[in-house]
Amino acid sequence: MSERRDVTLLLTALSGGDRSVLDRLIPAVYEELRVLARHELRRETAGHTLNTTGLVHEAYLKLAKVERLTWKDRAHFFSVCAQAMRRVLVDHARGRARSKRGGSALHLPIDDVVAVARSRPDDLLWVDAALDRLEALNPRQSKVVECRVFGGMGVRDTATAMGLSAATVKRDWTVARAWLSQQLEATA
Amino acid sequence: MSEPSWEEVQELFLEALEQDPAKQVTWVRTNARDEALVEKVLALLTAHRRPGPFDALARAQDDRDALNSVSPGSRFGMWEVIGELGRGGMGVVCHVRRAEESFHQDGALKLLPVELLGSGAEIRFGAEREILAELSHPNIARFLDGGQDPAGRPYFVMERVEGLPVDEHCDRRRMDIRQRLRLFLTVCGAVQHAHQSLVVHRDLKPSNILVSTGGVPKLLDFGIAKLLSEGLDAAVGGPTLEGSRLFTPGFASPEQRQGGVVTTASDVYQLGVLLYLLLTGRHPFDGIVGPGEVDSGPDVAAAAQPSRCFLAGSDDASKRADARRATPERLRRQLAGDLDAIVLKALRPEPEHRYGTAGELADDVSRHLDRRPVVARRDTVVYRTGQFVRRHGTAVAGVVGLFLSIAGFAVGAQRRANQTAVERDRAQQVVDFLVGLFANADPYRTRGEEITVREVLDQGAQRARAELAEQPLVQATLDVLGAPRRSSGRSTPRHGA
Repeated sequence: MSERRDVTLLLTALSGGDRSVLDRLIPAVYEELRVLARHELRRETAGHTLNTTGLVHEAYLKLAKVERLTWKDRAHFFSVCAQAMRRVLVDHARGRARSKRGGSALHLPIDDVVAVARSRPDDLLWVDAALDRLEALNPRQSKVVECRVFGGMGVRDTATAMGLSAATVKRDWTVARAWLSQQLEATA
Repeated sequence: MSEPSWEEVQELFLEALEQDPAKQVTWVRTNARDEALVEKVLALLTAHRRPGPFDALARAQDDRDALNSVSPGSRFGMWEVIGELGRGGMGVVCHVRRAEESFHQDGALKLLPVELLGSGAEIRFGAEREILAELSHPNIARFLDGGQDPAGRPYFVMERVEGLPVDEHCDRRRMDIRQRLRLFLTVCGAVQHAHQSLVVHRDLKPSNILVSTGGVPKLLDFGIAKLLSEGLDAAVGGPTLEGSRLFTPGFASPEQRQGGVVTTASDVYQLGVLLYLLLTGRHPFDGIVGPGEVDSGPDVAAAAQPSRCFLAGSDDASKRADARRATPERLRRQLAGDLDAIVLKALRPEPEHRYGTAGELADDVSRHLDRRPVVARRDTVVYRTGQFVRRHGTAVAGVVGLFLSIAGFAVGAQRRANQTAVERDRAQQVVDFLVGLFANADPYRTRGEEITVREVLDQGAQRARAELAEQPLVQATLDVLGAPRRSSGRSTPRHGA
């Protein structure tokens, strides 16, 4: 069975409510995103802002049989991508921190006002750790941030993927954003 | 005084945000149950008013969200949105109406996701749009309009078609193979008509071929992929990634996936994928190539013969067979031969080795339906012989050499034994025979069988028996054919095993 067909079937199962397929879906998506991100890194110069949205869309077109999927499947795919993308970027940042090599930095499009104060590869690790802390407070809010930041998802896609109303996603985002901003202030 | 929980803090914070900004702090002080809670909520409010991380990102996403939604009443040029018809992985489709004083016209508006555009550049649809508007055929949904709205979203308006995707239609009606082939011929006819107007579809797939309840197929989105990719390319002054990505993985031809020249042969390939699906219920490359190979890299993977999709133990073979009113065994027999050859000829990786046009493909399917010999089977032999010789050049040359020395020996022996004219003729016959045998093995001359070394020898022995039946002496000489046959049969790699 080809991986493409596999991913399509797994997504359909996920939309149908079967969470157990995540264990198989995430590795497939992780691998694809890792390859795409590495490619992007080779191509781009230092200081380039990583286009997570672009990568996720590219992975979507490559992995899924688009014509067989619904809008809901698409949203689910992006949320799985968000989780996989977070791992890809964090693994990459850890690798860079260890090797201490120069060259192109992979960083998130955090606003300039924030990014200026921080060395770039650390942005990711900081965000990752902060999301872990937020998860302990409220897993749903942490997931909303993950979808939006790492999956390039808008409010509506996030709501569809998580089975929430758009209003709930907006509220979660507002709270999480203020909390992250507060945490950032405390560690800057 | 207990430590306030996160739930308490955020609830109060969200409620505070709904108050008049100037009164928020006072509101929190009045409504929080204790000082610890007040402190936490106020800290959050302060943080909320500062620029936060990901603000630009969130703003960009919200903008995109707003752009990807369409509400009834919104207008695209002269079209007004009535309602949403559906959302797919690649955009939104809406029911639209054009209201003039004297008449109404309904259409289906396809709005592409903003992320496809990326740059926000202006798209110019050139002469192609006029050509599409001219395309008129009972099995092609009419192109009505196309453009870009003020926000930069490309949109197209087509004749509104109601129906089921062609594969679903066939399965629901449990259409047998011959019924499916006849429906496929209608589809080919529409594609051929467009090709004659120099329009290539580029994105033929079941979801673009809807069949009405009356059984009439209509092809959607003819020429849209080209219109859009050229529009995008023109917008940025060169070929774009977005433009080249406008194909459906799994249905795109190898040249499309590799960014090569797209011609009518690409549509022939996609018709091949479609025919494969209709006949077998499976995609030609299921289980053969991984995702990386589908989209890039040399396209050497060959599809399995359609008949093999009904081998015993194949995924849900009896279910797929039942949707075709047959047993797997019967379908295997029905597909083997003509239909295997036709589908695989349409699916050849090299465009020049496919059917030249949709019409030629249709002609071959008609020949099969009329039980006349199909072109594809003869062609398969030539194609595979060429591939065999390319792969096993040395082995073929070796066997030719071996035969020539046998011929030399035969001629010499004949000459030494007897110098009469009759016997020279016999010797000549042997030479002619052997030369003829290997002329057949030459892929550029033969239209014969797929040549394996073993088959050359088999053929030789057979023809020797038939053609040289009246020449016992020559026959005896040619019996040496049996000797190399056994040894080369083992040592030569066999093709197609």
